[in-house]
Amino acid sequence: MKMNLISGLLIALLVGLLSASVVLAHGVPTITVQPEAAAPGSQIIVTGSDMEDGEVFEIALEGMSGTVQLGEATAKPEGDEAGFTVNFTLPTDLAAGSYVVHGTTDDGGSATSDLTIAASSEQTNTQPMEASAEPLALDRSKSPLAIGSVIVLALISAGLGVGLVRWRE
Amino acid sequence: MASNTSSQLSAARPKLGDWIFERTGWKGLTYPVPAHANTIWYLLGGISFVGFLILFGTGIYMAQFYNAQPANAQQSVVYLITGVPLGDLIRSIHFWTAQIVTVTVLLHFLRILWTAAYKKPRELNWYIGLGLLVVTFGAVYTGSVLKFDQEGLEAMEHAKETGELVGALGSFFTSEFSRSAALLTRLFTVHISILPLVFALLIGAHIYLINQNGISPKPTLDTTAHSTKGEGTSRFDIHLRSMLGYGLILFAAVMLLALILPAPIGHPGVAGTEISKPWWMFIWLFPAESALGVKALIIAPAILGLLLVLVPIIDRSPYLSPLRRKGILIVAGVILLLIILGGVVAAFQTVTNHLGM
Repeated sequence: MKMNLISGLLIALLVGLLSASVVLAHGVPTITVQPEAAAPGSQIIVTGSDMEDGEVFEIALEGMSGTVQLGEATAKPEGDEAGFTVNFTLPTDLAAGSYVVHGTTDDGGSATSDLTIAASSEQTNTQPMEASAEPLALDRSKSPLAIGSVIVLALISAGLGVGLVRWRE
Repeated sequence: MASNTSSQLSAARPKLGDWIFERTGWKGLTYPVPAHANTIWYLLGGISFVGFLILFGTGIYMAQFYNAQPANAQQSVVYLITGVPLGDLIRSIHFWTAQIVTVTVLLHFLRILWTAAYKKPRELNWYIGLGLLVVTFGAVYTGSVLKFDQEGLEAMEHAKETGELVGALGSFFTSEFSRSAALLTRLFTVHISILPLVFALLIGAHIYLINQNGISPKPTLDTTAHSTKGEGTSRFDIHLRSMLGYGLILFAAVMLLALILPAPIGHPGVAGTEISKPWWMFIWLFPAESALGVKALIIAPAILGLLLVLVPIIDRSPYLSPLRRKGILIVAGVILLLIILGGVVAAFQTVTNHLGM
C-alpha cells in the first residue's frame, strides 16, 4: 500500500515534469515596449523578437476601457531569428492606467508587454533611455544625531541580546 | 510586628510576573526541552523567525511610501531614500535583514538535512519547511523586483518569460492575466499580502508540529528518530529567551550594516536589455540559464525541488547519525558543491541576453 502511494507520487511528479518539458520545447515570441510609461498622443516603440520570418503581428493596446488597434508589424530576419521594431502613436484620448500591448498572429501566436499610460507627460520618460546596471548616485549622508542614535540603539540591542543568550538558570 | 505585616502584605499582593503568568499562560511555556535545543544550530529557525518579524515591521513602514505603478515605482523608492524620515535606514535594515534571513534559513535547512530531522515522526514538518523555503525565496525575488531599477525590471522580465513557457501554470506572470493591474503591481500584492499570509499559515503549522514532536534528538551514533516531547533538561522559555537574544544581536548587526552599507538602488529599468546578474541566492542558476535559456529557471529548481521532496521517502532508516547516512549526505554534498560551483562560474561569466532564448 505504502509502495503504491510512493510509486503514484513519483509517477505524478514525473508526468508533471514531462508535461513541463513538452511545453518548454517551443520557442516563445516576445515583445517589449519603450518607454514603459507614456502619455496619450506620444510615440511608443514596439520591438518584437524570437519570431519567424514573415510572421505578421496585429498590435493592440488592451486596457480596462477596451481594446485599441495600433496597427501591424511584420517580422524580418535578424541574425538567427526574426523580429521587428515599429513606432506607433498612441491615441490622444487614452485614459491613464495600466495597459497591455498585445501582439497576435492569425495562427494563434501571441506576445505581450506592459505599458503604463500616465496622466501627463511629466510622469513619463519620453526619451528612450540607456540601460545602466550602475547604482544611482544619491546623497545618503545622515546627520550625526541619526548616526549616533543608530549606534546607541545597536549597542543596546546587542548588549541585551548577549545578556539573554548567556543568561542560564 | 511591622516586618510581619509587611511580609503578609507582599504575600497577599501578586507579583507582576504572577499577574502575567495567570493571564497569558506563560508558565505553560516552561515545559522541558533537550539542552541541545539552546545551541545556535538548533536556534537558526527561531532566529529566522525574528528576522521575519523585523521584515514585517520595516516592510509596513516602506509600504506607506511605495508606488507600485511601473511608471512611478523606481522614483518612489528614490523618494523613500531621500525624502522620507528614516526611509533610507528602514529600507536598508529591510534589505540586510532579508539577506541574513536567507542565510539563516539555508543554514537551518542544512542543519535539518545533516541531523536527519526529517525522519519519522517529522516528515510532515519537512514538507512544511520546504514550503517556508519557497516562501522565503519568493519574498526575496518579489522584493528584488519592486525597486524596479534595471536589475528589478530584468528579474520581472525573466518571470514573465518563464511564466509564458509553462503555459497555464505560469499565466499569473504574464501581462494577459490582468488588464487592470500591471505585473509589478501584482507582484507587490504577492510580496506584501499573499506571501506573508502563506508564511503565517505555514509557520503556525511548523511551530505546532515542533511542539507536538519535540525538537529532533541529537544525532549520536545509535540515536534513532523519535518524539522528544516532554523530554530534556532545559526549558522551552529558556529556548525562547536564547532565540530572542540572538534575534536582538541580528537586529544590532542589520542596523550597523544599514548605516555602513545602505541598500543599493539603480537607474530606472530599460526593457529588452539584459545587463545585470541575479542576486547571490539565485546566481547559481546563471550558468544553466546561459546554456539553456530561461527554461533552465524552471528545470533546475524543479529537479532540486523533486529531490528535496524525495528525501524522507528515500532515507527511511531510523538512524540519525551522519555516519550511518553517508549515501544521502554525499549526494547532498555533491549537489551543494555544484550549486556553489555554479555561483563561482557565474561570477566570471559575462552577461548575455537570455530572454527569448
